[in-house]
Amino acid sequence: MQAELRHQLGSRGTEDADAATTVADSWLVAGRRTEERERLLTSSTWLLGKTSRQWALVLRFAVLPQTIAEPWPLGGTVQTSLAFPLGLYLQRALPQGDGIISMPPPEPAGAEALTEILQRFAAALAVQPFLRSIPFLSLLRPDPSGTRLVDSNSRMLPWRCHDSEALLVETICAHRHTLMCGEWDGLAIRLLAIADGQQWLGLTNNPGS
Amino acid sequence: MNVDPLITCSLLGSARMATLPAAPTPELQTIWQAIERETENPAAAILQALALTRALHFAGTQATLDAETIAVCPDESQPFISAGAVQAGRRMLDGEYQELMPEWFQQCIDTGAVVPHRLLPALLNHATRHPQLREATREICGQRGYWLARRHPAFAWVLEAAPVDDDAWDSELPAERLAWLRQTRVADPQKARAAILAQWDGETPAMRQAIVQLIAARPAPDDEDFLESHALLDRRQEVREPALAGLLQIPGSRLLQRACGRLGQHVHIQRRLFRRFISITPPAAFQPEWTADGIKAKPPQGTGEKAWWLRQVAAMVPLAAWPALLQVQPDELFTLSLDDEWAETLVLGWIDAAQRVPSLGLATHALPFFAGLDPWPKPAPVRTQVLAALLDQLPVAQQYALLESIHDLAAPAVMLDLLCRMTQAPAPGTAPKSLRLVRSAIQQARFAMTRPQARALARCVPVAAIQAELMSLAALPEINSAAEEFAATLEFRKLICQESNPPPHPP
Repeated sequence: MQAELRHQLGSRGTEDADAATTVADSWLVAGRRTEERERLLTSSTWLLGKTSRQWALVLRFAVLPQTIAEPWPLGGTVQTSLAFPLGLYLQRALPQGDGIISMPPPEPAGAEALTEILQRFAAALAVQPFLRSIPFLSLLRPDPSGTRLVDSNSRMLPWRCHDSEALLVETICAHRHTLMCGEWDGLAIRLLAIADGQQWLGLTNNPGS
Repeated sequence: MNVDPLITCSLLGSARMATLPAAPTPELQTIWQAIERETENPAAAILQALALTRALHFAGTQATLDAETIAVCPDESQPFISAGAVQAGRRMLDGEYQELMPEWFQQCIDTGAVVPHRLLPALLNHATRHPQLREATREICGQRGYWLARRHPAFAWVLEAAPVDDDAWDSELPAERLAWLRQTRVADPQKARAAILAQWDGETPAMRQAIVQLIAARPAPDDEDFLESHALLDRRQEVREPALAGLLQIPGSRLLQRACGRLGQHVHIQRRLFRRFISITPPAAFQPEWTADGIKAKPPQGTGEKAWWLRQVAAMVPLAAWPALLQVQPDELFTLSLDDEWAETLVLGWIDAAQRVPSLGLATHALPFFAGLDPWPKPAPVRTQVLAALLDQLPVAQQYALLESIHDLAAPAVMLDLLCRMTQAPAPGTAPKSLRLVRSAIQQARFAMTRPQARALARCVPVAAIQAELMSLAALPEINSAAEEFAATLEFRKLICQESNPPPHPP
């Protein structure tokens, strides 16, 4: 129970690393969001292992006015090992070094259909009922109302976003299925990044940069 | 009202609970029994049951089927602007150095590239708020910009210059209808006129105004009947005024003939000793038929009736028609003496005429006259506004040449106001007086330039002279805030110009 709590809270104690599963892979830096709560900045970066197909969440913290130095650019691929502390559902990971970074163009390998994401979420909840959300990589487009995202099987799920984000995503997609990274929390999708041509564009911080 | 028995138990306290409420679905029946069997603490049992219910709820979402389809946007055929140009554009759209936007647009247009899609929403939103940038925006927004404009009414202005289908006049989108009108007026003016007439009575006031403005921007002789018989009779001043301006631009139009005939009764050239001057006789009475031509009988407060009528009669004749009317050369018109009593009224009429039809404003002759006019008539619009309207009719090189010619006539403040409005720099070496004035204004505290003015003046420095200008600023012993802003803006201009040079990357 203590280990699970530490896993959920994001402790970086050495005991976590000791009792961990290590996965070496080429990791796509698929999505990132930064939140501030009571002067504590928390950066959550989602990585997807190209070979292992394992999702990993790397948390970084800073107290304002400090900023978080992100060693891995969004859309980059990092060759490194990640240690997954033991827990009911492996998600949180500790990087074992900054690794070697490359910036390949976005590719849809690892993209899931919406029904696959729902199944994965259901399975994950069965293991860890307190799980809040899971990340995904999928080929999607907004529906004409701009409130749902549709996959290539014409299946759609609710999408939570600001008007400016909806317009940006609509502009980039232009009604074509486009590679996106986001989170599904059981109620709605929240997008974190989208492929704009040859570039991977963050949606939660500084959109359009 | 909460009906979940688990929540009710949590609120009332687990002490009152003998057993767990029934499982909400049959799937949870087995695990419900396990919780009751293995959990001694009732509070923990409720929490476990709640967690399972929540998990069931979240895991049970199903993806619905989408049946709606809309047109996919075609691929871009043009390349995208360079990454550096994107970055500069993003900074300006975020509020930095917005005075340099026209130059950035021009650089983008010159490369034949379009903006990447991620920049489009911000760009279209900006041009929606700044109509003067719309024409340039249409050139760099690419296929995606047009596609987006068809889906978002706020961006419909993009479509005003787009090629449209032949049935677009019957569309519900005003922008598409105006695009059709613009397109058809070139290809088949007769058809365009017939279409306007067929629907004129049912048009909204805004559409009527837009149609007349479109025609008045480039009126053809065949537009006269429509402008005079329909637009000029409209109830709204916003429709009548462009109709009037349009009719006055049509050579030999009936309105122009009436206006010239009317004016000819009140002004003529006389000779006194060796000088020629314009003799002015104001109208003795208001003629009822003048109302149809837009002349108002009742003067504003503080203006005499005759002066008011004379001003309007004079303003009805474009400045370009005056030399023929008075049988003088265009360069002679503004050197003639004026009848003292009515001089200011006539000048007010000239100012109004220049504002109403600036394209026929004899800019090269009228601008030096208006620039040196002292005192500027109180009831007239702001001097800079009048001068700017005339300047805008000329190409940039001529604008700077004219500014050089009036440099000694106009007050430095007026010159600086005009230079602040210039959106392009002169060719190197062609505007030395203007640049000297800019340098003085930036470096000398007595001009008290604001930061926005300093940024605007930085547009007047030719690209080739930016480095030298920065070096001269760096050599100053002391630098004020305006000079700082001026230097920073020049640095940014350098960046924009450098970014337009690298070859654009493909889409």
